[in-house]
Amino acid sequence: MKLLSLFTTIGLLVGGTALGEDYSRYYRVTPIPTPGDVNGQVGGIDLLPDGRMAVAFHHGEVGFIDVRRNEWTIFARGLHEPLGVVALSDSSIMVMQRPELTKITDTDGDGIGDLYETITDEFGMTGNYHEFAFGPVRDANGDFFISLNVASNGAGIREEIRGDWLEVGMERERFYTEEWKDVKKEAGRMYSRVPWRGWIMKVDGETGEMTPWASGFRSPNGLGFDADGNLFATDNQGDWIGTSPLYHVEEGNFYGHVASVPWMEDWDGRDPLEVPTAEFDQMRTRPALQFPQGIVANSPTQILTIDSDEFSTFNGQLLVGEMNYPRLLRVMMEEVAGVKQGAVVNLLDGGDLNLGNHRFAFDERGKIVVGQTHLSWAGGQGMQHIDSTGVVPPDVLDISLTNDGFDLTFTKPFDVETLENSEHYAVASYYYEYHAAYGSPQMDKSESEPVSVVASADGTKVSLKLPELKAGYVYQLDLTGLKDADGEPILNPMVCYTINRLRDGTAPEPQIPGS
Amino acid sequence: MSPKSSCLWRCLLLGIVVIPSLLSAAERKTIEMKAPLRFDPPRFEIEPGTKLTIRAVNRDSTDLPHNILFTTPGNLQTLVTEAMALGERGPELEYIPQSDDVLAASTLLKAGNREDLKFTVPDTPGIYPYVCTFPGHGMLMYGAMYVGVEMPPLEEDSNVPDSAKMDLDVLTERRPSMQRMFLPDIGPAAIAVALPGDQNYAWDAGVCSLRYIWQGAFIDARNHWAGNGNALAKVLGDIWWEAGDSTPLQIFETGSSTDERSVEFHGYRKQDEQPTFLYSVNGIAVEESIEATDSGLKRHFTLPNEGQVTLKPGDSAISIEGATSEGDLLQFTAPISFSIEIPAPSN
Repeated sequence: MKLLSLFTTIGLLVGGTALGEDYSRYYRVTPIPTPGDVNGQVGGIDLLPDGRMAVAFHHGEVGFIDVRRNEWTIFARGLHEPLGVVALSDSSIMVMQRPELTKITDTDGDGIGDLYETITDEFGMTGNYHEFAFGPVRDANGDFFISLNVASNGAGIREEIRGDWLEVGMERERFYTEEWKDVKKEAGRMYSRVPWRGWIMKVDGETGEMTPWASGFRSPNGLGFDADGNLFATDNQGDWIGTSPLYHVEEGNFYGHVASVPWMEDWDGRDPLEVPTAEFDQMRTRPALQFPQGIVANSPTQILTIDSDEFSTFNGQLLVGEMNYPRLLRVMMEEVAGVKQGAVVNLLDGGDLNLGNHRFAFDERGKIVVGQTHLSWAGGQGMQHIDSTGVVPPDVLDISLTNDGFDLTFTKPFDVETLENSEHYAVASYYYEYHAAYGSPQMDKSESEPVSVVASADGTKVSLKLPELKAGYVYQLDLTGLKDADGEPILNPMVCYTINRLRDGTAPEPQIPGS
Repeated sequence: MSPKSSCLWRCLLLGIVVIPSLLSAAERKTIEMKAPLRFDPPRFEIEPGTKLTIRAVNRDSTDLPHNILFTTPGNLQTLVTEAMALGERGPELEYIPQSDDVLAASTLLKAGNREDLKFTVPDTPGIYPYVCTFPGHGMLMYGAMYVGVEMPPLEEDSNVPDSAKMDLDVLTERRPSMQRMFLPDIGPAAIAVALPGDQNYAWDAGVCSLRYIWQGAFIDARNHWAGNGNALAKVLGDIWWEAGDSTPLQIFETGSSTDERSVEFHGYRKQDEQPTFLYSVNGIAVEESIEATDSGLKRHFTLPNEGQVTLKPGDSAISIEGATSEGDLLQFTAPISFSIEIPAPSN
């Protein structure tokens, strides 16, 4: 397929020339053919108990694949933009599609789903194209979480909608009666005029009852749990979102995108577009981690805890996908002063990996099965296997904030001389402003070098002391120049840490216009 | 030669030099950046040496930023790769690589903004690519400036992306089948069903009712799927029945209030790609399947649970075994099954 080979070619070029990394020493990427008559954009992947993988596709099919034999069965058809699947058993799955959360079961044993049960459709739809529905993910209690995209003023709403219309904001008739270009600004860049758009919802695993969980989301494409069962969500740079975030999602919190606010139980009915930014800034819970736009990721996707013999070096950390670059990201989280924060680094970038890494799961042997998509944005399509060659890559294993800098731990002993050279630690810091406009540039950017560098004798750790640490800033460390004890250069030299709290508990100053 | 005549010769020579450059064509062209990730136009022809002003306008309805960069023949992939490799320097450089192969480039334009690029089209004929080098866009968002070279037919042009051509996905029709989809003249939770034969219907999971029936080919959802989801699928064939304002099936527990029609959609059972819809009306469980007959369509209803039920037939001709009439209402005991015929118009 022409498009696919173009992506692969670009991928190869990028992998080969980008900073001299040689990912093929550490990772193998091989294609997994998708069914010939199915559009290969992937919306969801999960592992079935019998070892097959369930894969949801853009045009509404769910296929089960035996990855060893490369045999496909189409288990379900006709869904509307499925963007996530959870395997319940070898014969039943839970799928999130635009209109509803659906359980699909093979009740007559022929290997194909014959019962499609609507678990919940108790959220609104205006028919606006941007109202995607994501998830589900299942927690340890067997309950599910789904997330709902807000509408975009790139388009209006349909004559017929589902759910009660919210009277706060531009009058409904103006959506229909006036030239869209004249009213789109007043509608709001993104809007939430039917129930729960912009919210993460909890769905009871027994009863299917849906309850509101958290608000303030824009396009919360990725949901996932960390190793301790904490719920995380990724969102996309846009209005109110300076750069794509990773949120630690807790019940009752508001995460910053204002369109969803009027659905709060105790909201006083004001139009969020008329509320001062400072008020929302006080209300919001900041991202646990920020993905610097144009550098690390432009559109992060799924979140998955690494739990695999193949990638055991990184077990317990988070894998995060990305649409615009041919890469998978690794997130190292910690807690400082009771708040989650941490750093993002590439796991694998370029080489044979396609763009559009949207959904992934570990297969029964612990290899990553990744599915790609693009819809109408930058990305790719198809599926690939990623496994380890067995050679541990020379990488930052973990990073921790100290009173005056960072402690880095490496995956294997590094060359101490390269570690002790402070020129191998180029540090840039900046913040992203919280405001209504689309995205934020890097603000107050400054560059520095460590004041001191202390490496452990065995080369597995280094402590950096920096001239200054500021809460609310991203610290971008470029570790080019570090080499492991065998002389191999560090595989992924860029690590970006988001500081939400200093060790003494200092929180960020407001980062809104005028501050 | 006398001074006067050499001056005359010099003027003539000057004229020969000056006049052609005055005559060299100046042209203006607008290139729009649009969703999904494409230039409009994706290609154009121009004479070598033309003084060209390109007005680049970002009309992306999904609000993505774009730039445009013109390069020399064969260098599309090289420039895209170099732009990706800019990494963290990308933003300050507008994602434009510093390369001798860049003929002209814009800054990164936000949606709604525009910028004029002025440059002279090279004298050497060839196919000069233009591309957006914002990370991830270059694979799909490019075009071709044909300099002194004739453009081939669009379908055969390998210098433009698939988005520039007719949609390459062949419209495949599966029958029988069903597809949840954005359809016209129905709520957003719509289900299109292709029956065996040539009848099709649209069922609304939001109001739990049949909305319209058409004969002929099924639907064309390619624009919906290929675009950002804004486009509705097209209903192919001829619509010959619409629910319109007629009330959908209205049932309630005998003795309770009549005006509400509170519905809950429970899903469907599927057999041979045909659904039996499962829903509740006013708390009463209903199963509905629809089949094509020789004379039209037939809706089969089953109320599987025990109870005393009242039904308001409205416009439909319904006969229910053992039912008693109470004015314009039918009262009966469930569990029960009954049908409604919808005759196709006779030709």
